[in-house]
Amino acid sequence: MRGIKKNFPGVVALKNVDFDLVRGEIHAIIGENGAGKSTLMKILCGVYPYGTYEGEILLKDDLKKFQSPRDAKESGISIVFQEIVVVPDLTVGENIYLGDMPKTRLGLLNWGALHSESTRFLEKLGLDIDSHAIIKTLTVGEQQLVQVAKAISDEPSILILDEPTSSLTDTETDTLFSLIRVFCRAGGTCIYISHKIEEVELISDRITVLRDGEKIGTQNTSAISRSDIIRMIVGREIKEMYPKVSCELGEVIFEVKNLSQRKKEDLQDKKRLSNISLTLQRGEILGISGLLGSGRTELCMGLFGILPDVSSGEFYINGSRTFIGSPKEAIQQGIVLLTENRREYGLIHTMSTLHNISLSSLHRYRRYSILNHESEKAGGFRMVDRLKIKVPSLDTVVENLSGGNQQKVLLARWILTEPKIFILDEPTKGIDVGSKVGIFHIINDLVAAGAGIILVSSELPELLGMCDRILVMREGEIRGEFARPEFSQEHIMHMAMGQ
Amino acid sequence: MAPKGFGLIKSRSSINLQFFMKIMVLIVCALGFEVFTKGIFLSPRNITLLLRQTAINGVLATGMVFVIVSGNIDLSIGSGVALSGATLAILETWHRWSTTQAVIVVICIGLLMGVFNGFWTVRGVPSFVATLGSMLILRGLALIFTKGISIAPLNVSTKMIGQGFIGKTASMIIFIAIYVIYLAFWIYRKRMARGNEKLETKKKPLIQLALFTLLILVMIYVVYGYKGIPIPVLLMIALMLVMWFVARYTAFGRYIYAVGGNMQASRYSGINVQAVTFFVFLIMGGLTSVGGILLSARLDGAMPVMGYFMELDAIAAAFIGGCSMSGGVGSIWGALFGALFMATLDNGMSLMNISSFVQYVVKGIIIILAVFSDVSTKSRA
Repeated sequence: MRGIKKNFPGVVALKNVDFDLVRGEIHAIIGENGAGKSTLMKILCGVYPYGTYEGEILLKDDLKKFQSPRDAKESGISIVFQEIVVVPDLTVGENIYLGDMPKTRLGLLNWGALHSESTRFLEKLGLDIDSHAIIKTLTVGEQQLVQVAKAISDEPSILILDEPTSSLTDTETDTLFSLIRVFCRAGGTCIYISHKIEEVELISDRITVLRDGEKIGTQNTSAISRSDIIRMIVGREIKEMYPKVSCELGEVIFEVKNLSQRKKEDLQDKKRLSNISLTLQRGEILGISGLLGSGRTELCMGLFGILPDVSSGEFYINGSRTFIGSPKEAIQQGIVLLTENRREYGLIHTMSTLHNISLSSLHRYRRYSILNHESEKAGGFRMVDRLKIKVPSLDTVVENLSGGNQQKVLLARWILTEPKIFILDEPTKGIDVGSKVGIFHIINDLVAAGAGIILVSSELPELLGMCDRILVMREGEIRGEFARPEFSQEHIMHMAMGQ
Repeated sequence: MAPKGFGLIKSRSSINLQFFMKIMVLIVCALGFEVFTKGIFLSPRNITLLLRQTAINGVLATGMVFVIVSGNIDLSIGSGVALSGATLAILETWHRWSTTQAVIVVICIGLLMGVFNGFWTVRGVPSFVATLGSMLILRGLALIFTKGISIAPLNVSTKMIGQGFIGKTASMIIFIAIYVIYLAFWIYRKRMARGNEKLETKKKPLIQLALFTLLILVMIYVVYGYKGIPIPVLLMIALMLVMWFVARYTAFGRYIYAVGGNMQASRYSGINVQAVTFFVFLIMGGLTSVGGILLSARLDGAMPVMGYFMELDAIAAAFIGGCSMSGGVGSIWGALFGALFMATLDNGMSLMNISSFVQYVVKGIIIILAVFSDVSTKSRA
């Protein structure tokens, strides 16, 4: 790939990235969220068709103009996404040969050949999985392995794995690695995308680091040290990105003791919370750091009354014990959660901006249970002004706003309920840099007004820039705590990765 | 960002345009029928009868709008109408109950049907399945209670509910009162808008007022030309006003739209999703019993087989009126339009002596086309 450039409305996702692959190698791409890894891969495998980006893709000196993932597949490029996309009710064998099932001469399915071939294939890859097993009876990790096997069965020349180990146990990870090695020894080439540096060191031949849409460098894995890699990943110096205004910390307004989830016996689910305790002071921004799947989102849900299987946990607001059994109760007690997934858990797409903003505060605009539209609108205007939401009209359907403005609308919804405790889960995910800084300013205003904020983020610089204190999570537990003077990217990252 | 937003305003007005187009289609249909029936269709008498025909479906469709907007469906209302009507007839004819007593009991039964549907839906049974079940259960109960036979006649005062008219003078007073209230509201709104012009959408209040004036004048002409407002029509309009008010001016109404638009997000916003869903079905049950009372009162009796396909008529009216299958979108006045449109087709084709077999085909095509026009304009916007 040469000189790849890709723009999204308002953001440059990739700036002139060159990237090359040598036949038979395992090439790792690492970088933070939003560094451009996924965008680059989506271009390579045809999700973004030719013409929507600048630059060229050359395969053995042939210029390729993929119009669709199908084109890319025909040229031998297969991708396995992080999310699991298998058909849960079919058997392993059927899933592997889905779309290309062996048939008998009559055109009927040849079940015998299907399972004998897939059994042989699984054995060749060193996978101990029964071809007749129904997918949904397998563990999540095994499903992921089947998915990789399915991709290999298409006999691609280039196999792309996007965060393949996020749901794997250690032994399953080992199995995956041997599987990848078998594939590459047979002449295949693999692109391996991951957050996890120690894995990348183990498996890859070369490493390419991306940051903010730019290629920082490509190195032979054997020639580079771990701390060098970390420095390449995080080393940015945009101080004004994080307009931190320190304000005086007040008394403890929120305290959680021993929040735990029941463990399921058969599944070792790393995300399950165990023994979470934390305190939050007035005027404080408390950061929660951790890798994907470390239990960050579960913690947010736990504080908001929507976590399943809670086995223990005590909440104290302003020192007095309280119970939080549903979002409604949480909101009534002044706790709000800005969810990571705006589309699914935040916005009501069919509704106008105003109705989205006022949704959780309608009781304020009600007399004798009749809504007063005028005062509701006035409240909406105030929020639009205060948060500088760019919207042509309060009646604009929220679906049509940009990501940053949608996020501000959701923030407005919560600010209007006048909460004391904000939980912000990835508040800047998927929004452009300008809006990000805007949201940080809003966060500053909120703490200045006496709120406490729990800021959850996978972007370490964001936490380092904005927080007074950072808790590090791994495998459902809080593993460490850093106060602002002790902040160090490397230490936090090491702790999050478990070293 | 700004141009994107402006495009949106355009698409919003295109929704109004859609509605305007629909009304134009209705008017064209009406004029067509007027020509083909040689002036019978638009006579005050026929319009009055057409409105009366609309009333029952209108009442049911109003409830159905809430159900569909909340992201659900209710297939049981045809059977519910039969059970309500049957109960009314049994109480009055076999047990000699007074009209008031019987009506109160029947409405309670309707609410119970709503409780039943709501109970299962809230517990996670898809409303399609829950109400499919209650469709069979309620029909069965109607057959059991009536022992499968027709029951007639009802009390004279009950019959009036279905067949009576409000006198011409009283009708005129009602229309004039409605008009005065509307005018006051209109002036109030205009004054509020003046103080608050920033970010305000530009509506066309004058055109709205003109159209409403025209509508009232037509209604007065109709009412004066025949016997006055039919009682079922009055009831329908009153219920629609109440439902419209609930939708627009209560938190509950807003929550219905939120739940249908995005259930998870509504829950995360602190809305008690289950309570909202439950009350939507409760209201639907109550309105179903009103439909049953109106129907048996008009027929002056009850048959266990009445009300077949009524749920489909109500659903069709709601969709023609702009409800979205996926929830979150729909309006009471749209449903009134839908019910009117279907009654117009029924009435007009019957007057033209088109066989009922053909009528089914035509109605089916119209329903698909109506929703298709909605979908295609929306996807372009």
